[in-house]
Amino acid sequence: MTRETLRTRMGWLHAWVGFVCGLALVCIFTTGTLAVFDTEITRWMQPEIPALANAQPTDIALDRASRMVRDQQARGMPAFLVLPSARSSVLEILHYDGHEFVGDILDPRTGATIPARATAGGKFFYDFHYSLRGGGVIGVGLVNVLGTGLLVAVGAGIVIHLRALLPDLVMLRLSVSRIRSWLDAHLLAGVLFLPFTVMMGYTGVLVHADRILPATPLATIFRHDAAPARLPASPLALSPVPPLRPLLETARLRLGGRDCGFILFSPDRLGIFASDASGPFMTRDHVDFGLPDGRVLGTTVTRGPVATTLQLMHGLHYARFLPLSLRWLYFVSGLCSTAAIASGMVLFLMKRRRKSGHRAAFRIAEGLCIATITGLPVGILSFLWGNRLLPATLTGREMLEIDVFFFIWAVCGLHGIIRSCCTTSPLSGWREQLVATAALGCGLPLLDAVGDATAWRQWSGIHAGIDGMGALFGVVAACVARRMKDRAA
Amino acid sequence: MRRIYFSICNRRPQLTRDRAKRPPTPAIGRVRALAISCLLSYLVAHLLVMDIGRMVARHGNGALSPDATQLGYMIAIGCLPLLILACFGMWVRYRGIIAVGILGAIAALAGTVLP
Repeated sequence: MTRETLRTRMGWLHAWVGFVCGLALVCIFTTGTLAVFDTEITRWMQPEIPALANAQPTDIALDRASRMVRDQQARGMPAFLVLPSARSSVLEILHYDGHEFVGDILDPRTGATIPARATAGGKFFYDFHYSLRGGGVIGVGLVNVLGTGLLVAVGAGIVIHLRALLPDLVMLRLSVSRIRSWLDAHLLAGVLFLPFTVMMGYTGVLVHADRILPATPLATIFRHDAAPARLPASPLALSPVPPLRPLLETARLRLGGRDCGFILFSPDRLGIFASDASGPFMTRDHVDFGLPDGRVLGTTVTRGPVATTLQLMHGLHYARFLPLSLRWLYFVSGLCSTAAIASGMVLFLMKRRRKSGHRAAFRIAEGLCIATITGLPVGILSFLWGNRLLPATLTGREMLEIDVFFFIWAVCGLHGIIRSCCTTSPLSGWREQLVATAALGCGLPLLDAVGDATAWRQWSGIHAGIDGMGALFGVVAACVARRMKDRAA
Repeated sequence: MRRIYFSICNRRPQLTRDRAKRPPTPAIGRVRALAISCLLSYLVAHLLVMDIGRMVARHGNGALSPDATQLGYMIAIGCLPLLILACFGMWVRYRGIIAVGILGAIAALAGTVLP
């Protein structure tokens, strides 16, 4: 029996916490990485929306939009208005459907509704990233626990490799033994992107910290006092909305020249909020206007060292203020952090294959690993394929897209577990799913080009980026699958 | 074969069975240690959130401000993984648990002193 030292204990903690949490963390990091480009993915998934470069909303469009918001509110839908920005040139009237913000898209010049296909869009990845589609309490709480697990695993990893953090950066021996090369790749990705991983883990947990660390005594959480009888609220009459243009100009002045992001409408007032893209500090600063006359009721600007620090942390995590180049840097960093976690999981299995490879628990763990590392990309690519293959006019097609994603992913999970448990070659499950990734990824540009060439011309940058990334992943998956086949032969 | 053996020896074979109690495998002990570390660290982090909230509010205008709670969150979320690592890593003579336990006791006492 080996002597218990700090290093051996931390090695055990790093391996087991990393593997167990890693199964979900790979999904969280992958979808979070994609959510960096959530608006662009939504544009790709709605090719009907025309390109309107720097289109400022006209008075007619704003008035029409405010009337539509009021109509929806009269029907009991808590809608609000999102203004055009550098990344999205359309007006949007959104409401929360329990998972994402969905709604109508308006032309900023005329205010007419653009008949775009209903889609879950890039917001699906955003929702999956922070709640695993598990809702605001359970899902977000689970993601926070996993985020804390990530920080624990990273901390344990730092203790293990503390003496060799710098040498690890230049150590990549792909030609030596397989386990050694996987370890080098894990260390390289892990050490190089350590600040990014820690920053995203810490700020991510901090965003919803109250879900795991309530600021009230724990005993009060389980006490269910009878709620005071609430009198039925008398419905307030919805006051008419004055022209929005002067209000937007006033709000912009009062917010220190920052752009306006969205407008919330109450029955007797409206609030114009600063855009998240206006700076690294993600605030909810806003100007309130009374209705129907549009007089200024007040300006809410949050200041103070603690609030500013928190706003900066939120801003760094959400990354909505970043220009395109830094957004790509976030994307690449997210991919490398995902690769570090995934390579750690593969290493965990490789180290235990000789001793425990025959056990059912090991086989199931490998099946789950296959479902996570190779099955998730197949699910994501199927989601994009589903967007193009499902009829554009189908009702409820946004939910169908999500169903396609989960169905294909579940099939991959089942396939991975069956291949891992019922075959003599443990690599066959990995290889077959990599081949599926390669086929779907390489076929994505062709599918997109066949579907709608007009959108390709109008949004060439977005289509080139998404199709190119799909093809790149496809090629990488094909190379890895071929290499695995060579080794198995 | 067995029958022949019995006939030769004229007595039942002595089946060896290790009746000595096996020591717990390191993995089970470690899982237990991890569970204890997580629980204790969580309680300390929770107490930190509440205490920092009260402390800052006390030096301010007396009311519990959202800023104070947010500061508590920032410190507690940063400390939680470190507490778990300390608790789990320093297992010799339970040094980690004792250190984190003392910190928790101080936080709990501070909670009773602060308004």
